[in-house]
Amino acid sequence: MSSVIRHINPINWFNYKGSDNHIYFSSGTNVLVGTNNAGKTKLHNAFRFLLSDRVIIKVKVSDDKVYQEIKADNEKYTLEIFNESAYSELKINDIGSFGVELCFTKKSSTEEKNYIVKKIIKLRKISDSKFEITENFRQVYSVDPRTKKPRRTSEKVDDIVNFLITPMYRKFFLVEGEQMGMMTPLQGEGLKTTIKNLTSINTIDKVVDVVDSLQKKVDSDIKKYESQLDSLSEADKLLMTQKHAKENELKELGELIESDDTLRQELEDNISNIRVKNDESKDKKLLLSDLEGLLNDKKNIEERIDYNYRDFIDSLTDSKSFYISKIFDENHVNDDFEKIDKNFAGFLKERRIELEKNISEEDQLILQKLVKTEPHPDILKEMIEDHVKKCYICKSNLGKENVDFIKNVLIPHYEMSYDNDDYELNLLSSIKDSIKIIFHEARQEYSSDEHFISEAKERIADLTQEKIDKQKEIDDFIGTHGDKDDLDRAIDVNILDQFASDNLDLGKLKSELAINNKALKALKTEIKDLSEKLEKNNKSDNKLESYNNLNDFITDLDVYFEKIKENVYDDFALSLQEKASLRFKKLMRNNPTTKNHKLIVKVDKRDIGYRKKYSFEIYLQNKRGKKLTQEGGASSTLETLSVVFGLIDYANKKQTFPFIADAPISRLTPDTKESFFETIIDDEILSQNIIIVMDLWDNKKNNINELAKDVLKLIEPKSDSSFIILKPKENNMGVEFNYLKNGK
Amino acid sequence: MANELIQSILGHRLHIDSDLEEFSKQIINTEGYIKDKTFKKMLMQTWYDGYLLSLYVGIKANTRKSGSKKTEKSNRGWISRKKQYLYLISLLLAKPEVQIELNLDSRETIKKIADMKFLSDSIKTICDEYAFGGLQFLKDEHEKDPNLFEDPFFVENVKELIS
Repeated sequence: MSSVIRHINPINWFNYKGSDNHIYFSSGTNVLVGTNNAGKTKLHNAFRFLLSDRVIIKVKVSDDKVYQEIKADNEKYTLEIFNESAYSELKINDIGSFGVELCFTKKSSTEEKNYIVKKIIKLRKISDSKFEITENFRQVYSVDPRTKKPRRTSEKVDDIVNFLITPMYRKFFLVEGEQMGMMTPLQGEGLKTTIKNLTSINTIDKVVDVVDSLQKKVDSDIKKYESQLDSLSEADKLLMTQKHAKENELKELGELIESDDTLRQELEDNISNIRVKNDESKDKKLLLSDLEGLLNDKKNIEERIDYNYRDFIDSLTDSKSFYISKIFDENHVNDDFEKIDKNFAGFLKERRIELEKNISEEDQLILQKLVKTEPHPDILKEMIEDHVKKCYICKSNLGKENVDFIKNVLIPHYEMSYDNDDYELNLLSSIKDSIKIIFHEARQEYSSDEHFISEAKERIADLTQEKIDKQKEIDDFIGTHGDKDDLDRAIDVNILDQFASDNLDLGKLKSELAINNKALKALKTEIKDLSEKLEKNNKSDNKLESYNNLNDFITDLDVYFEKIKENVYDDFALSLQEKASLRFKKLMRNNPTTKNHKLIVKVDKRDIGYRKKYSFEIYLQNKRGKKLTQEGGASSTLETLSVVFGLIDYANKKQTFPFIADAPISRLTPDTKESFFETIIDDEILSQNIIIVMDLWDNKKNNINELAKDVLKLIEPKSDSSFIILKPKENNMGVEFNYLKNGK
Repeated sequence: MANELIQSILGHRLHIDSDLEEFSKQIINTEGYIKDKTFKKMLMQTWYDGYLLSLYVGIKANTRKSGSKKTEKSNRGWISRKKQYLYLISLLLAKPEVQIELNLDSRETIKKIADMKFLSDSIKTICDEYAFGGLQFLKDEHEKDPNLFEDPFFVENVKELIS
């Protein structure tokens, strides 16, 4: 059994003006391309309205406009749906109508039957902004195979549209691209419901419920019977009391575990709900810390620049480096000093000659060269003592001639300098020695150092470049991730706190649950032991024995169905994972980055009280096994699409329902867009596809783009496929259709 | 006696030209410890450093300023900057005109030097005049270019000006 849409006719439906807007579809792939406002989403809404009486439009919520699904006969929005031009042409009190007419073929192995479904809302115009809805017309017509004329039937509209696409599958076959990444039927509890609908779990659950109530009844009957037994010995009565106490304890613990598990589920849901926001905040926090690191690095560089500046300035007069002395070469000062010194030596010589007439010319010359302060005459006297007779400067032994020179010339000369009270001689000598000390002290600084400034400059230039590079890094970072304020604003501290505290609570709750489950098992064993003891003691009581046998049987039954349920879920997850992964790989075949990504369908099983609890998750993981989460992103859309196709593959109902998708590829990368079409067109599972897209249109050229040409090439050889261009007429006067390829 | 002159020189008190005291703040940190170490402009850390710089500029630019009213900034002497001060004095003593001024050019003039303190005081007077002249030179240049001290390598510019 399958259904194929033949044509749709939106009547005064948004920008589709008038009652004849028939768009004809082929039984295979139909690609509808158009510019903005060409009526693509409105066409998708026409299908939605026909299937569910609803449309998705932008409505005002507070100050924002958001997409919302509303009922099409909601008078608040009627004039947004009714073609504006058609409404304005209505006279006051005129009756106007809007709605959708759709024709499809219901196929079975034995026959084909064509139906036309009409859903028309009629209204009477009161004013330009006021109206009253007069009729909500809904009718099914069957098309006579011979005359091709429609005939009213008594079949209900809902039954017929349910056959077109059954409600359970609607969310997978009527898809809207923008929301695809976040399809609720594929997440959390929604996913569980989807799985339940697609598997036999519901039936199993019903059986398990029957087993449960049976067990409860038998339990209660056994208790009643046991308490009525008179034949029990005192010891058995004690055992019985103990058993009943334990059973009560077990019941309470079971309830506690149930309620803890509900709490755990809530916490897990909370955590799951805020995980994306938490991860975002966490990422932003990390980015903020990275940015702060970069800003600190820059500050450090600035401090190093300042330090180098300061160091340079301080070094100008610092006694160690004393760079001020290195600006010019002052070596010529040595010559100036020699001249001064020579002058003073001359002055001294003149004065000594005046004072010491008896010294030879040669000795005078030697004396002039000596400074008066050293050596001290006492040292000279020691040098010429008989046991020494050695020069303290060159360590050579002194001969008689040397000793005489020291004794008669040097010692009197030095003694004279100390003892001499000649003022001029002393003054000349002091000034000469002082000037010598001054120049001696300064001499080592005379050489210039041409490089000291350039080296300091170079150091600072390097650091300045480092600062510029760092600033660029900061600017790039801010360009990509925003500045500190942006990141600060993006960090939701409350979410981070809540996520951390929820995780902490969850951890505690899980360990509590583990402890309680262990205690539960122990209690069960204790109760079993007590029952066995009682059973042994009361073998003679056939009824009790039968009760116990029945109880054991029900327990076995319960375990058996639990196992079946577990197997069904496991098989389903494995099969869906396999099929959806194949679909994902096919859709992503042109994208090397996702080559090693795997689509995982995870079944989480937990022992809760007597039973197992199941939860499901579908996600992508990379080759390192890391879960990839990016809700609403391209891979997320692909992931959803793969799962939808995987589910269809799982159902393996070939040519069942038409796949009607609006903008399914809007979030995909160019390479995956192409592989999407290749997959759709060549698909063996999907029969009819109605794909409404904008991505094949080049707005600048006002024509189809290169990708569209590739898609057209894929479609052209297919006799059952069409390629249709939608163009809006001016002034909201309707929509033009251009069939580039019109298949069967 | 030799030590007497050196000791006397190193005991020179530190004076600044009263008229240029305000301008000195352009090159000398007069506020004491700098809390904000971020470089803002050319600042010598003490009055001593500012004096040494001014004296150097004065010697190299050969600018002297006499008859200034002086403000004493320190009486601690030059022991801690002995090398720097004696270096600059050696540059001064190498100038023949300074030798003449200090009566060091002949035996006859040397006789006019009453004692080492007299000679030391004369050296101090000449140092001050060159230092104040140097500071005046910097002030004049700063008037021409108010950003002169914003460049920490301003000595390089000054070198060009005085070469």
